[in-house]
Amino acid sequence: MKEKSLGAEFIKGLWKENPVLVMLLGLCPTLAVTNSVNNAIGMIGAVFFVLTCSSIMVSIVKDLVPSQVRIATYIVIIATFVTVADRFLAAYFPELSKALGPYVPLIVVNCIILGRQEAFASRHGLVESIADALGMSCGFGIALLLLSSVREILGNGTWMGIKIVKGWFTPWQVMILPAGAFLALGVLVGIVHFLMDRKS
Amino acid sequence: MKSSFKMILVLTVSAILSGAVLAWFNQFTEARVIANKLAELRRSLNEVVPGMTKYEEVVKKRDFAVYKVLSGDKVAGYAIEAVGNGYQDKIRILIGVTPDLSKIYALRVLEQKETPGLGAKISGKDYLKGWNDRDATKELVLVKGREPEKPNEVHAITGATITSKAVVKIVNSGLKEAKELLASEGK
Repeated sequence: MKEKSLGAEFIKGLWKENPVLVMLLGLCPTLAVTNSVNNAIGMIGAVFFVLTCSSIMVSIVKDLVPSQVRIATYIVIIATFVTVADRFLAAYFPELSKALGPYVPLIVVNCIILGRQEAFASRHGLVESIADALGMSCGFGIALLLLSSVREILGNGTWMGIKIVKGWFTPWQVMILPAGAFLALGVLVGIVHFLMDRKS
Repeated sequence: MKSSFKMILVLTVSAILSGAVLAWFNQFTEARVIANKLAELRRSLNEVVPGMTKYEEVVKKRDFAVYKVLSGDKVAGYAIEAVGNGYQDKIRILIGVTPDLSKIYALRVLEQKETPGLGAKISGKDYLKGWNDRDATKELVLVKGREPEKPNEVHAITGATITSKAVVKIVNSGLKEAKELLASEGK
């Protein structure tokens, strides 16, 4: 395999291999928590922490783990960090933790995280894995911020809880309901693919 | 044989390490999580019963709780925590009542997952205001399409009839259970 620079490992997660918009991974939290920007930021923070820590751990222990039990071991590592993140949110951000509900514990089965361990961290060194994890978390963050901004502004007339549209606009209730998540994601993925096709 | 031994070893070690990390981390967060819950309960109790200085638990079950709210030495009222099915999921409500359970001071919604913009308005000020100073000697009644006139009537939210009905039902059953309980204890 051709060696890529650390910068390239980081950048690819932002756009070319964006986990949500291009690879369509981790859609469950993407659809569920993007009804407000604040929830999305909480989710981004949790995923960022879990993905980075898990990638570090997996790239350190990758040679010690027999390949038959690698998935089980990765899940234990991921679940440990997810529980740490969940308890941290419950202790210091009780409101956010309540709003995110079961979606924080569900990060354990988020395919972005297990996918990156399997596809990247278990085959690369520590530094590359960190670059990859940071890039992927930022890509996830960009997608969630875009989606939650669209949904919160259209669906509630606010952004991060601040009212930004005045009287003449009636918020489209549907955008903060589950149906709105599918609508917004579909349109967003469509736009991204249109832009990519045009470039190539 | 050797490879299966290695598998067992790796999984055992990782499970033990993970358990140790979590046990260690829990020490820092557990106290805070409990403190958060208590602070939240205290804040809600203060909102539903005026003049609270401290409270005592009378009963606490999974879906029902009664707190005796004290103001100084005398009983300022009771707060009843009742749970029931809403439109989407459980609704958890805290009802503040006078010491003789004849009047509702105020109502707060502790937990709900109703439709945003419709049923979720039960957490809003406008709706909760309609519950202030309601007569609790009779069953509460939901009125639609007009303003409540009698003291045991409450208004519904337009477009969220099921949620509005659910709240009334939860309040009625919570009050009934609390009355029975307090009567049996002779208080």
